[in-house]
Amino acid sequence: MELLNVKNLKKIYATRFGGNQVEALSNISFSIEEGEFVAIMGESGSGKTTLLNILASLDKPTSGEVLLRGKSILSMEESQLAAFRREHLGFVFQDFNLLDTFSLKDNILLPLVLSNMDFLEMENRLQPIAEKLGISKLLDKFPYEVSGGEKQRAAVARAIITEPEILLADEPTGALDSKSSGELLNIFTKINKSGQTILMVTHSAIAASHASRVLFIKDGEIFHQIYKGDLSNREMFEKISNTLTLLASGGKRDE
Amino acid sequence: MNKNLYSKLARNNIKNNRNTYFPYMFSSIIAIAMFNIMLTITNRASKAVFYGDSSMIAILMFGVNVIGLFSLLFIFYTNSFLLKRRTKELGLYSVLGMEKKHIVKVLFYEILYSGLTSIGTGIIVGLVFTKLMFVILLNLLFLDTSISLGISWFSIGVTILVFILIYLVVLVYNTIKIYRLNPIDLITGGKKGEREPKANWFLGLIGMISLGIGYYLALTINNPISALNMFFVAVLFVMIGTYLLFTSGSIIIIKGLRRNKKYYYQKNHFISVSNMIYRMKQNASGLSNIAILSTAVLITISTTISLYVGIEDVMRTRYPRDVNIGLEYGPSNLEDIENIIEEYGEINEIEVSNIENLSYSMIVGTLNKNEILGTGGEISFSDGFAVYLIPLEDYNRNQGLSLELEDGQVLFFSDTTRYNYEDIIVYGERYEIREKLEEIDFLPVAIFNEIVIIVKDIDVIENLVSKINEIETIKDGYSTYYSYRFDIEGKHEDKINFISSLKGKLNESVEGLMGVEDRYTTRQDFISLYGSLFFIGIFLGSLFMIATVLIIYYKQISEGYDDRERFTILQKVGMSKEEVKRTIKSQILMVFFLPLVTAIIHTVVAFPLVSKILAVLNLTNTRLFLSMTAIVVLIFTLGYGIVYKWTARVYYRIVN
Repeated sequence: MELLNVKNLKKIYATRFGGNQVEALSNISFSIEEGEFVAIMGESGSGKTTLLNILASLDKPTSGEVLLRGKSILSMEESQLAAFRREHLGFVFQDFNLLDTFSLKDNILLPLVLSNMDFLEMENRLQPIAEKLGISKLLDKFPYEVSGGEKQRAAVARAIITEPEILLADEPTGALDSKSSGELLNIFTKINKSGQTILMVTHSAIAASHASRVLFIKDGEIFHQIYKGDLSNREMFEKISNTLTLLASGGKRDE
Repeated sequence: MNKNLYSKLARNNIKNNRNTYFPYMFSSIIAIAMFNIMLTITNRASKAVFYGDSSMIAILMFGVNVIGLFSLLFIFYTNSFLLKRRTKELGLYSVLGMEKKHIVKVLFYEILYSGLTSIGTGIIVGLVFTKLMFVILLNLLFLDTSISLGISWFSIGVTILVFILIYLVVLVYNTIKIYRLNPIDLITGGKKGEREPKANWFLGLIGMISLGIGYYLALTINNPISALNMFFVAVLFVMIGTYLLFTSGSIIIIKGLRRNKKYYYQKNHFISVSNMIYRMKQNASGLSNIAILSTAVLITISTTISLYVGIEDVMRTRYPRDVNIGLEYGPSNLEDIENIIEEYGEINEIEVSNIENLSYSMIVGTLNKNEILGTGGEISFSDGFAVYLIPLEDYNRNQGLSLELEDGQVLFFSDTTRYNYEDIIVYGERYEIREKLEEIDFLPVAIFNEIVIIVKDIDVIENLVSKINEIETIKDGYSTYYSYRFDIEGKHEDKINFISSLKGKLNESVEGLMGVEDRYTTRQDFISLYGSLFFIGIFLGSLFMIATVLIIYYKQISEGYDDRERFTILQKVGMSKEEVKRTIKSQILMVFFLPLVTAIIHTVVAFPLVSKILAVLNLTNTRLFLSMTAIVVLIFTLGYGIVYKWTARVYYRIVN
C-alpha cells in the first residue's frame, strides 16, 4: 500500500532582496510503500535536507504536493502541523537533538507527554522499546552522561514511541563512530522488519546499503534509484558505490 | 605583532558586542556621574555653613561611600558576566594563534576604551547634573538656593582615581581568568554538558531557619530601641535566608515536583519543571541579588520619604507644644516663669496659647504581670518601661475633666501591652485601677514602652519616689519634674526673637531649670537631617534600581541564548511555536517575578520593625508610612513590569 507520495516538488530559495534565486529542488517525484526502508543519497548541496524538511512539514515547497496516505500535508494549518508531526512522523537527527535538561527517559517520553498520554501507558510503551534498543539501563542518565551512539538510540526511541507512520532520519550516522553506526543501522533494520516505514537521508554508502531501496538526488532531481532485492549488505554497498562514482563523474540520467 | 592590531580588535569587539557592552557602559557612566555628583555636593556642603550641617555631611559622606562600594561590586559583576559570555570568541583568538598575553592585551584595550569613555562621559554627565541635584537638595532642606556650586577639581580627581582603581581590579581579574583557562575550554565555553544541580537539603534547611529567624525578629520586636539594634541582625538573617532559599530551596521544591509523576508527566508541567531546575541553578544567585536589592530600594525609599513628608508629625511628636520648659519640681515659683513669658511675649508681639503644665515623675522599671519592679540599677532598654506618675489634678486640668480618685486608686494607661489586671503594684505599693485610659496625648513619645499612672495627688508621687530611691541605686536618684509648655502665635521672626530672649532670661533667673526646647529653632535641624536622608534615599534607590534593571537585562540575554537551541529542538519534536512560546513565557515570568514577590513579602514583614525604628526617629504616623510604602511598592512594581517587558523583547529577538 502506498504510504507517502511526493509529486513534482520544487523549491526555490530567494535571497532576501529577491536578487539571486537558488533552485534547491527542481522536480522531485517518488512514492514510498508501507514497510519500506528507503535511503536518499546525494552530495552536500544536492537538496537532500531541503527535501526532508519539506516531508517533515518544517518547510514549504514552492510548488508540488506531498501526500501521506492520500492526504495532503501541505494544506494543513500551522496550528495543526505540530500535532500532525507529533502523531504521524518520527524524527532522528544527525546531532541527536536531545534536550540536556531531561533524562533519557524523559526525552523519550516527551512526545507522549505533549499528546497528554496517561503516565502508566507511557511507561508500558517505554519498556519494550528501551529493551529493543538496548538502553533500558541508561534511562535515568542525562544526555551528557552517555555516548553518541547511546544518545542516538535514545533519539530513535523518542521517534518511534509515538508509533509514527513514517520515521524520517537525517544523517543519523553522521556524528557516530563506525561501531555505533553499525549498531544503529542494525536497529533500523530491526525496527523496519517489525513493520516500521523508514525514510533516511544520508551520504554514507554503508548506511544506505541497509535500505531496501536507494534514491539518488543530484542537482535537485531524482537521478537514479536502485533496489536491494535479495542482495547482501555488502553487494548493495558495491552497487551504491558504483552509482556514486557514476554520479560524481557526471554520468547521464538513467532510470 | 602590530600594536595597532590589539586596539583595533578591542574597538571592534566593543562594537560587535554592543548588545551587552553598551548597557554595561551606560550603567557605569551613571554610577560614575552619581559618585561625582555626591562627592561634589558633600565637598561643597562641608565648606558652607548651614543648619544641622554636621549630621547632613555625615549622611552625604555615607552616601558617597555606598555609591563607591556599590560601583565596584556592580562593575565587577557585569564584567564577569561579559567575560563569561565571550569565552568562545576569545577561544577563537587562541585557535588563530594568539597567545594568552595577546588576548590579555586585547582585553586591556577594551577596558581602557570602555573605562575611559565611561569615566569621561560620567564626569561630564555629573557636571551637568550636579547643579540640578544641588538645587534639589537645597530645596528639600528649605535652604537658600542661591548658594553657588563651582566645578570641584578635587571631586573630579577623586572620581577619576577611584574608578581607575576599580577598572584596574577588573583588569587583574580578567587576566587571572584568561591565564587559568585552556584553549579547549575557551572554545567549548558554555557548551559543556551541564550537570543537574543537587538538591542540598542542609543548605535549604539553613536558609529556611535563617529566614524564619529574620522574620521572627522583625515581627516580634516591640521595643523601639531593640528594633534599632536588631534591624541589622534581622537584615543579615533575611539576606542569608533569601540567598539559600533561592539557590537550594528552589531546587528542592522543583525536584519534589518532578518526583510526583502524576504532576510531572503532564503537558503543562513537564518542560517547565525540568527547565526550571537548570534555570534556577544558573540564575539563583542573580535572582536573590535582585530580590535583596529590590527590598533595599523599597525600604530605603519608603522610609526616607515618610520621614521627610512626615516632618511636621515628627515635630509634633517630639515637641507637643511650640515651646517646652522643663524644671525640677519645687525650688522655683511657677508664677515667676509665667510672668517672664508674659513680659517677653508682649515685647515681641507674641500671643501665648494652649498652655499646659504638669508635674510628673518618670521611673524606669520592668513589668512582671501586674507588678512594676526595679531594674536593679541597670537600665535595660529592651524590656524596660517608662512609668510616668502624674497627679490627678494636673491630668484633670490638661484634659478639662474633673475626675476624682480615692486613696489608693489610680487611672492607668499603657501603650503597648494589653494589661488585664485590676490593680498595679509599684515597688511593693499596691494601687487599685479605677479606670483604664484609652489615650494620653500630652506626653512626648519615649523610646521605651510607656505606662502612665495617674495618682491622687503630688504627695503620693513624692512619697513613692523617695521610697523607690531607697531601693534603687541610680545615680542622683529619681525626682519629680515640672513641665510647662505652650504654643505661640506671631510673625516668624518675632517667634525666633521671643524664643532666644526667653531662653536667655530663664537661664539666668530660674532655679532648677532643666532646659527649654522649641519647634522653631530645631525644625531646621530636623529638616536638614531628614531632607538629606531623603536625598540619599532617592539617590541610592535609583542606583540600586539601575543595577536591578541591568541584572535583569543580562539575565534575559543569557536565558535567550540558552533557550534558542531548546526552542528549535522542541519544535522539531512536535511542539507548535505557540506552545513553545507559552511554556517559555511562563518560565521567564516565574523567574523574574519571583524576586519581586520576595521583595514585597520582605518589605511587608519588615514593616512593623521599620515603623518601630521610625518611632525612635519620632515618626509615629504609621498610616503615613503605610501609604508611602504602598505607593513606593506600586511604582516599583510598575517600573519592574516595564523593564521586564522591554527586556523580554530583547529575549524574543534572540530566541527567534
